[in-house]
Amino acid sequence: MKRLLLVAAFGCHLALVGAGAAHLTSRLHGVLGAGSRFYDALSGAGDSYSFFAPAVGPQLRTRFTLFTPQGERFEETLETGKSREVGFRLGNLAGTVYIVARRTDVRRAFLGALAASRLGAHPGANRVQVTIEEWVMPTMSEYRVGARPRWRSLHDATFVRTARCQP
Amino acid sequence: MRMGIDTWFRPVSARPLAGLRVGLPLLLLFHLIWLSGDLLSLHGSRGIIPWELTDLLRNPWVPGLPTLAKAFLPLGIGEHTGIIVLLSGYAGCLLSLALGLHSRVSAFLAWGLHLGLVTSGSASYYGVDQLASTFLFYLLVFPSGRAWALGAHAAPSGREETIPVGCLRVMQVHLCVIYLSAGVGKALGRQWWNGEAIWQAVSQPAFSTFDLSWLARYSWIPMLAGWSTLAVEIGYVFFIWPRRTRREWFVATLGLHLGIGLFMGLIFFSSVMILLTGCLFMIPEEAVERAVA
Repeated sequence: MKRLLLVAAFGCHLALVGAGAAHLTSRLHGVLGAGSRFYDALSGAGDSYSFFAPAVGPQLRTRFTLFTPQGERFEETLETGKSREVGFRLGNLAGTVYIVARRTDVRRAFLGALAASRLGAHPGANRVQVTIEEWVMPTMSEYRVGARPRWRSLHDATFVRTARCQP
Repeated sequence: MRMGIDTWFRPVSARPLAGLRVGLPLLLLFHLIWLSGDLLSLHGSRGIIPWELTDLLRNPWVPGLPTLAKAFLPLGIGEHTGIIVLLSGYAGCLLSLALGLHSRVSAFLAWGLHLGLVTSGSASYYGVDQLASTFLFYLLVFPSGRAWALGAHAAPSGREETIPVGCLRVMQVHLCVIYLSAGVGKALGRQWWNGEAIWQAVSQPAFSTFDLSWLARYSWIPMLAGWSTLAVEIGYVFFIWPRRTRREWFVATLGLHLGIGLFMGLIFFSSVMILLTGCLFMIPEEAVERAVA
């Protein structure tokens, strides 16, 4: 009996693995959906594995333009000075801010948090413009006739340090 | 029916699972050390994204590191210190799991803390974290401490330690699903057939390790690389099982991941994928008799 239950558990687990890979579990609603998502979060059964599929999407990044009261201006990105692995994760963070946080207020809050972290790192700056940008890469045939890659702005917001949060 | 059930419990060598138990925590530990300088900016209470915002992205039923860190508050340990304690504990559990000390307890703690880390860092998380979490779960539920473990007892009969074959098969099937799903997903897009996917991937600043802009003049190279990726990933499920083709497919998979590591800089991801195929398919599963003096 114990063996039968274990085999049933193996079977259910693998069925969920297959369903997740086929993007079926995300369509489940109600108690079944919540249950499968919880089990997925714990076990990974139910995940989809769309690594660079069906296409390679554009890279996103967060660029900061900081201004000082003296009129100086300088730029940096979240990845500035970080290792490749950390830079890659921070790039994902920019993607999350842009894609996942669809609600305007949530996106604004994320951008505000990013701005606060930069203002904290640069006490001399009083204003920061946060820009989410995407890397526009021409196709191979476009590149051969002279097109070149560039960063394109998707969204930007400016934050000003108020007297209350002066260091 | 009974015979069908019993085939899942045929004893096989515990070494493939033990190889995973040693290799995966060590890779995660190296990765943790690699990221150590930035862990607090990704996960800390004074990190880039405040906890209140990361909470919006996580599964409400799975606690993230902040929830766990707040549990230390009644002990007089602040949130910032709490995170450091948890990350240090995570490192300790990974080491303990790799050594095979109280494997199940170590696996439980390592899995739980990894899950907390992934949950609270969901904004900066990517595929390899998801894979690591999945296979730590298997190390927890399956008997991973029966071989190559400091805490393991030698089998009395002179035979090596075994595990039920079902444990191994579940992980092997899961790995095949991962490759098949990734391969089929890619094959549905045009980019992987005309080479643009490879061109786009190696040209992005995040991945670019060499200047490969000359590839635009030889578009057949990325096209061939795209086809090879599809062949390796979709063919994995068909060619990794038969003994006659297993070694060749392992070499092809190794080539794919070495390429990803070299040309896209995804070293940690590549290492984890190589480890999974290496342990689950290339360590022989037949239990062998020990030479008895």
